[in-house]
Amino acid sequence: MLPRSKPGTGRVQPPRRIEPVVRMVAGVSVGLLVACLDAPPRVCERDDECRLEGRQGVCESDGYCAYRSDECPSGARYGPFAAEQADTCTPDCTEVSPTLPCDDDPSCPVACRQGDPVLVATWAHPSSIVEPRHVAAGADGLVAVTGTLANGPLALLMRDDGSVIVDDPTPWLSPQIDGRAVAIAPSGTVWLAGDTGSEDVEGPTRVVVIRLEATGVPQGGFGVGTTGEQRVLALGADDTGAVTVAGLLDGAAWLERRGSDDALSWSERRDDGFEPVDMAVSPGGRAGLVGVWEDGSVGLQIFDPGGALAVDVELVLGLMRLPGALDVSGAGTVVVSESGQAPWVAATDPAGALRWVVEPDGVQDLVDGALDGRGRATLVGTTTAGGITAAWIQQLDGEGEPRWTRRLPSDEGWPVAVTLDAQERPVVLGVVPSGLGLWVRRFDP
Amino acid sequence: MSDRGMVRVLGVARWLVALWVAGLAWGAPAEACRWFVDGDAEPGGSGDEASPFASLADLLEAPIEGGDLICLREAAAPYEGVTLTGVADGTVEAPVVLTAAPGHAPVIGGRVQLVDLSHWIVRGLTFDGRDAPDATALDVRSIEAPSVGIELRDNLIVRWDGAGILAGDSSSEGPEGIGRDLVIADNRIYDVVRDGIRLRHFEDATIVGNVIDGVACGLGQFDAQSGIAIHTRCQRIEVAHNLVRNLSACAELADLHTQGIRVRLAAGPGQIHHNLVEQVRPGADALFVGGLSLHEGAHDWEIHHNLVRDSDGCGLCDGRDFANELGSTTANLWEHNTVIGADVGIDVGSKATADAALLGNLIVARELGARWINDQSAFTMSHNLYWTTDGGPPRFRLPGGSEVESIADWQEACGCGEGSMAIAPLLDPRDGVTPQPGSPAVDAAHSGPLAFNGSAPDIGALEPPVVGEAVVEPEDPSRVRLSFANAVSPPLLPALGCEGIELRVDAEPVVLVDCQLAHDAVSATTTLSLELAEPLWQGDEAVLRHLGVLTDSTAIGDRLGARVPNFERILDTARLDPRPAIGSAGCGCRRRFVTHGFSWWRWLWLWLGLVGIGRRRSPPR
Repeated sequence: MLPRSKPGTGRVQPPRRIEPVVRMVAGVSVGLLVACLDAPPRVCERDDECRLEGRQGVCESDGYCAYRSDECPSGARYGPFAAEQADTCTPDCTEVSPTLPCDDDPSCPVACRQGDPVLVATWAHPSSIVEPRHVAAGADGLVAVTGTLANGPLALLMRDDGSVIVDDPTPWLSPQIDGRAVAIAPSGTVWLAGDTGSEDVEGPTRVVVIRLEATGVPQGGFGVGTTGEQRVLALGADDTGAVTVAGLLDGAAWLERRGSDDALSWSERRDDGFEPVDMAVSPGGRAGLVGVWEDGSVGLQIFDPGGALAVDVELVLGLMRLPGALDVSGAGTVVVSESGQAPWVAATDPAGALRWVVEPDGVQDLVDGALDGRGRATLVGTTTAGGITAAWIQQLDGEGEPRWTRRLPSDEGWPVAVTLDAQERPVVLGVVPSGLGLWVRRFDP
Repeated sequence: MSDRGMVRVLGVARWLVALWVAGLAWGAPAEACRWFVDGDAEPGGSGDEASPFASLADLLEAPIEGGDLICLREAAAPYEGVTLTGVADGTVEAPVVLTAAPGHAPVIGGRVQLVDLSHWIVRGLTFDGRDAPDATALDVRSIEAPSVGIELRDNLIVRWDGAGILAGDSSSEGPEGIGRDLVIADNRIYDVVRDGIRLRHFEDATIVGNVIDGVACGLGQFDAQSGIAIHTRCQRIEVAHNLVRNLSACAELADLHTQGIRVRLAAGPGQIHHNLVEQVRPGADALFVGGLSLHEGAHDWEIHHNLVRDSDGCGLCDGRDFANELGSTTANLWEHNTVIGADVGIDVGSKATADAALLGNLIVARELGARWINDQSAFTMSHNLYWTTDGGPPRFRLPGGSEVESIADWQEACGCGEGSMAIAPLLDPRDGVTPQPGSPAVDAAHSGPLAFNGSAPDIGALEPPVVGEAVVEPEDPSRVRLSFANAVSPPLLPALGCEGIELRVDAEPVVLVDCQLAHDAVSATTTLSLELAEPLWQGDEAVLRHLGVLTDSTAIGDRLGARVPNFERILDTARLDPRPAIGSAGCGCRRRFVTHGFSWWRWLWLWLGLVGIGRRRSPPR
């Protein structure tokens, strides 16, 4: 057995006895050097650069890959090439800096830039309960919100610096109308759709779709009304500036696409037992419609930009799972559970084939979802802890794995809708607990 | 300035202010409403914005002029109908327009009749017939003067006990009764009776882009139901891009004649093209059922690029329904139509059809590919493709009721032209209509004046673009171009975005920054240009796939285009620059070079370091 050196003894070992140790240290050093030189810390830019032993990871905002880990409070652990953070848990950003941008908040770790919520606008009505329903976000920080006030429609056009462009639609929208949906085309054209609602309205019920400039000046629009039931479910604009509206027309499922000049492109009405729940339009102009058939099965239909029914499939999601919201992108579709159910999320490919169904952890009630072109789904809902309800926002990657999760303080209120802006950043619309105002937050994807 | 000059300036200013106020709602002064009608207003209004008319009947007393825009506001109750006659005509340049006020969706609960009027436009209104005292929603008549330049556009017509739109008057036989220059476009007609649109005594009419969904059977000269009916003396009529759907079962009437689009009573010439007719299913008691049907003297029609699917009876029916003293049909050309799922694909002549030509049609029938009833009929059939929904060759029926089972026997018996085939058409399963690459329908029709892709026209209504080769631009290897031969119906849709397009390098997806389509009319070529996030390098195994939906703009039924087949193209990267070494300037450090994890060979190095190097250098004992 070779003699061992004893640190701190001050004794000089005979050269002959030292040599094997030196050799060993040198060998280890060389080995480590060779090994480590080949594996320096590696910085990532995109999620798809992160793959470890077959697992897809997330490129964290500090530039290192992290992988799902149930042992970590944040749900993720850095990979082995994350410099000094290697193999440590990622910071739990769930409740970090809900209002300020992370860069402006000294307490916000760099790793929490991903999913960083930034409060871009708040608005309150001086005398009315505010019931926001839908939000759209475009280029140049343009944000549109619609819903209902006590005495008429809510129609709000803002910039993400909080400045209000329009908040009084009375010159161009009847007080009988409830705002249901908004959309913003890449050109900045804003479409707003409303209906006379299901309350006691004398005579015909109506759907109205109004086209506004980005400055809030009305430019056109169209409307339909019959003595049957009219309703708007959703509205979507595509990259050509065309708009598709979905809802009920004379009591039957209805889908209609109009050009940027209001001219009718195509109209589809189905009176075949399909009850539509939500509709969304991809940037390329494909319109997806999710709904429930008379037998309780869930159906997904996707119409080509030209109006042909391209996909008509049943989504086998499991018993008692009913859809509540839909979004469509080039990556496929995402379907979110109806509010009030045990939360679930499903994703399909562009052809409507089911890719995955997940039950997100930590959320009690899902209300909406948005899907970007890379297949990342941003979900909004509420979570309850200790009897206190708070807003919950999570983004899943293309495989249904969580990328980041955020929870807002309970006094911030609850989300009601999510959309993506022109840079595919999630923009969430929420309502304050008093019901007298609303907020809009943008999240760094 | 003189007083008169000041008055003139003030007058102009007042006019401009009025125009601005009227146009304020939509910011479109050019569309400013001249007259307002508000059903909730007090009677006796003057018709201006502050004092609107209370009913449509008030318009009869208004000094309407050409170019006036009459705007209807929403009202608590549907408006009563009106017969507009004796009011001013518009002109070609300045028509009178009856429409909805900006932001309003008014509902009319009675018939609006335009009698002896010219250059009026009725657009963007809803006609709800639930409680209407009349049968028809919109009625254009020429009684004492011809109706000229009437346009009915973008109206919603629901639940009427008669036709949605009726143009022409069967009682008008003289030349004064012939209207002309009629446009019926982009109307949505749901749940009406007998006919969605019926036209008589009109010349130069266009019926385009309408949706007619839900037509019940109704009484008439004979019991019938049809989506679009073109009748007496109609000439130079174009029926295009309409959707006719859901002519439903009729248990109330026997001896029913049900047709998706029907032409009769010596109407012609005209064109019927790019229409979609589906779900024509009146039930077993119907006397005659057809998708596209010409009879009773219909002549000189060109019927092309229509699709009939999921319907009973015959798909393409020439002289098949009854004939009277006007005789059967003459000189109708049926070309490049597709029939999917009709009982009989082509049905010719229960009466003696003359000079019918049926060329390049694609038939997938439930029973018979073709039926020839009257041996006096004269027709040509060539370059048609026949198959059945059961997946086998169809039968063909001859006069007298005998049947043949081979295409050769059929062609010999009927003396038809050649080039037809009975073979599986290999249609794209995504839409069930477009021929796939390798389909026998591709390039198999007779070459005529129509544009086509490939070496000859395809059989059937849809001619898919032909996918060319993909090329990496050598000067900029982050750009890839792919061309499509697309001579028939450009542009391709969707025109923007990268939906459904995927580029993989060494099996890993590459980020596409931009995808643009551009069409060159001279070369009839559409080019897809892709911009990649990173350049391609020599030796990259790059594969371009299209997995989404891309169609041309044929717009059958205003919605159905030919589908570009999904494709896969391997990119030639052999002539590109070699990839720079990792770490060097310009290194394309793509993610496939970034692997994570402390892999086995790194552990091996470490182990060698621990035991190998040290031991080898140990001095011998």
